[in-house]
Amino acid sequence: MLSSPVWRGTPALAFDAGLAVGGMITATVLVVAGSLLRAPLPEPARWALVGTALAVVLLKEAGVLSITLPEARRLVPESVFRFGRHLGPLQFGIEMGTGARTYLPSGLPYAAGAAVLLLASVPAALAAGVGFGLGRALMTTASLRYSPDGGTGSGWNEQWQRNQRRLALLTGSALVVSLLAATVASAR
Amino acid sequence: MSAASFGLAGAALATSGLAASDGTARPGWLAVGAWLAVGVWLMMGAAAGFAVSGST
Repeated sequence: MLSSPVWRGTPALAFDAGLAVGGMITATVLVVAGSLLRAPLPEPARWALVGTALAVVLLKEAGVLSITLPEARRLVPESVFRFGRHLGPLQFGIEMGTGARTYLPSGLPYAAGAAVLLLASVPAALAAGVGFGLGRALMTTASLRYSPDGGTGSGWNEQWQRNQRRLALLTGSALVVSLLAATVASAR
Repeated sequence: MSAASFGLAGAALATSGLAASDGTARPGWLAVGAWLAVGVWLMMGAAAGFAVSGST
């Protein structure tokens, strides 16, 4: 589906905007739910919970723990394109951007979600949501523009599979560094 | 979405952070620091988003 010509030009931008909007929707839900969960928990307990979630996710990513995290085991239906050249990709992006409407091949969003749920301010939560959308958009754009195979995306997937462990380490490290930086920023 | 786009967005954020400073109660570096604190969360989300999209 992503190799379709619809993913060029302004429809691609609509898709990217949808991803950011979807990320913000999930972040908003998490921060609102978190405002209730945080009430009885002292701050150290919240950091401890986020740290535990992060440790579990990293162990899973490293293959040490074998657990299944919940995910929607389906693809976003192609019927979203009935809304037209721009609104279709926009809705597709929103649904993918929420992270709740399709597969989640990595556990990292759960660690980020726990941090948003228990620690983030509203602007920080929205930034994390936009970041999630941008991360997805970056991958999609990069795979579409990966040219050795004529832009079909198959060469990209092959490269991704080949470097899967390295990429998991890299993205996991980026998340850990971000969380540590957030810890430092909140301690000031 | 090229590296230049990210660079421009970063420059815009930094500039608006500096512009938010009134020079008296809120020094510019504090405003930039606030933007960076938000940027940390942006990076966290982006790492998760990129990781989860590998096989899309």
